[in-house]
Amino acid sequence: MPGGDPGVVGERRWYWPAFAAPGILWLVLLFLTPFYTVVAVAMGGLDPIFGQPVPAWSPTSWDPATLRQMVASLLGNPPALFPNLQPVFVRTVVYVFVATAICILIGYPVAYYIARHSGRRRVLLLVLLIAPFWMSYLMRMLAWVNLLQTDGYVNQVLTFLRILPEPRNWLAGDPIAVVLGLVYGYVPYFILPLYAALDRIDRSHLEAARDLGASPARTFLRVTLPLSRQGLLAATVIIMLPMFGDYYTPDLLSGSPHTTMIGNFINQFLHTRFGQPRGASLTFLLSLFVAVLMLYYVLSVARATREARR
Amino acid sequence: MEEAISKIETGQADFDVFFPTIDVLPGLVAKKLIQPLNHSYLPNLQENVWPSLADPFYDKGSRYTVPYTIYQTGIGWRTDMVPLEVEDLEAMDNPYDVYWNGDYAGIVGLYDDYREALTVGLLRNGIKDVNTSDPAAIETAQRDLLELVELVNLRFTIDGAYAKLPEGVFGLHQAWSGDMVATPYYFPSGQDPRVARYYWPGRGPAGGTVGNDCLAIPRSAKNPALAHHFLNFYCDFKVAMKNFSWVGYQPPQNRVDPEALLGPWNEKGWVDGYVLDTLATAVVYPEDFDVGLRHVGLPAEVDQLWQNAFATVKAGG
Repeated sequence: MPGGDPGVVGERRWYWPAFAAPGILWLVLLFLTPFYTVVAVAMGGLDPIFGQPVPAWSPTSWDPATLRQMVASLLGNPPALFPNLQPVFVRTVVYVFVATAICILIGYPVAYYIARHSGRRRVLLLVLLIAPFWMSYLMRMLAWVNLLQTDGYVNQVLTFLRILPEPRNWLAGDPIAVVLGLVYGYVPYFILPLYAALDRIDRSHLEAARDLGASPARTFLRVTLPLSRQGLLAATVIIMLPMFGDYYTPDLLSGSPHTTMIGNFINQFLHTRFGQPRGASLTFLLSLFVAVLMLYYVLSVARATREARR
Repeated sequence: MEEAISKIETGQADFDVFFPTIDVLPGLVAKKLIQPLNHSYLPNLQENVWPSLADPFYDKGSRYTVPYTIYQTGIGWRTDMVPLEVEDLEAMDNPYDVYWNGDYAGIVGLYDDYREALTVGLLRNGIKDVNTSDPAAIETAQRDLLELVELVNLRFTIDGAYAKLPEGVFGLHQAWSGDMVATPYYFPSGQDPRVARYYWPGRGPAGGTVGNDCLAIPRSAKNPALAHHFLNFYCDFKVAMKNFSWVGYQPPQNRVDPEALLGPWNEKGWVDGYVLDTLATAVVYPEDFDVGLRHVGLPAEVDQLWQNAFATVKAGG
């Protein structure tokens, strides 16, 4: 759009891009620099005394040996005496997809209700949705540790309602507790962007569908759902990306090797002597993996934008 | 520890006092990150501290450190979840076998620490070199822990002994003696902490580890004289005991009378003493440091072997 719209302030090429400059600077300083550091640590060496990383800042001195080891390990073909992380990676993907699916099942109706039918209660409901953000994620998970204990309120309610014959030890390495913990932790982040997308849908489209004889269900399936697709995708990406790196949810709600996620290994490697290049390698590989998801999102948005312009 | 060293090394922090573990001491000295102590500022060290730790093997002559707190690594449990008494563990051929019992599935935990966790596997197999570089020995420990993962759905935590055992999340957990001393204060209100028990196999044939943390002064300290005064202050009997009453970790003080540390549970919610009488086994004696095994720092390639084994266990095989 050279020159921009005639008559609009700032017709010069640099005017509007200049508004993006702080954001770009922010990204360069706080994303690209740390990311390059991660790569430099992953490809670097180790201090022989303390085992701390010696980053390889120049690409000419990069040594991909650790990265290769981690790739082989993630693919289920680890070097001798090296842990096989393939089951952990598969488990991480399964947990994240299941938790995301549950978030969609829980979050979509909530966002839909607030956007369409909450009326005067909308502000109250939005405040309630934002309320969890006032407390740290860690504190909320610690609260769940108490609630899920054998004599905690969750078991008391479930046994009182006879849903469970006896209290269940939810914290004994139970994948259900970890997945539900992820859902609980991330569902507010899912609902808010989706609510914004649903709220933006022009009501005249819905009225047109109804005028043309579509039932409420058909209106939802043929109009609301397609129009909210970008919001749904954005909300899904927003929760999936941090879920892939999550380590404190399985740590706090389980601690069992049967529920460890990739984030737990990144955390473990980064906090042990001689382990940082491995942690950095895993971080780098996980970033590549989630970048594929992000790429799909970006391409999808670009396609939707093109279609909207036609 | 790694973060602290990194900050000291890169000059991001200018601590006056640092609490290193003994495994990093050689590196701290080699890299000149801590400074030699001036003993004329530290009269309480020779006067009050156990002779074995006033001249320890890891720092002969206490040139760089004074000992902070001491501990054993033993076994903690609650009798209402694991119906055993200390005598039952004493009578076992190898007390570490207690973890390998399918009846305790879902309530067993080890520390989320590669050295501590794998040491259980070594000692269970009679391997007393807790700093072994033998890949076969490390693999044996790894194999046993993997078996334990399947048998009892083993979990790894760092707060399992002092916090989650009292909460009933665990019934049996690897435990530092200091963590067990603190447990009565982590039981939910109204619950009786006298169900907690602790046993250290180190006095028997199975063996057990002991350890201590240290106080040192970084070379970059801005107030080294004041730091010396702090170290001497900590070596004062009353100060060390006050610290003990807060953290649960015992100081190596000559004047400590193990019997006098014990006290009954006061129904109002505290221990009338330093250590609950039902946890008397958590008191550390000077002789324990004569027979106890010690973890020390490992060469890089050996450390990697240990870490790989632990990561394999945590990956579930």
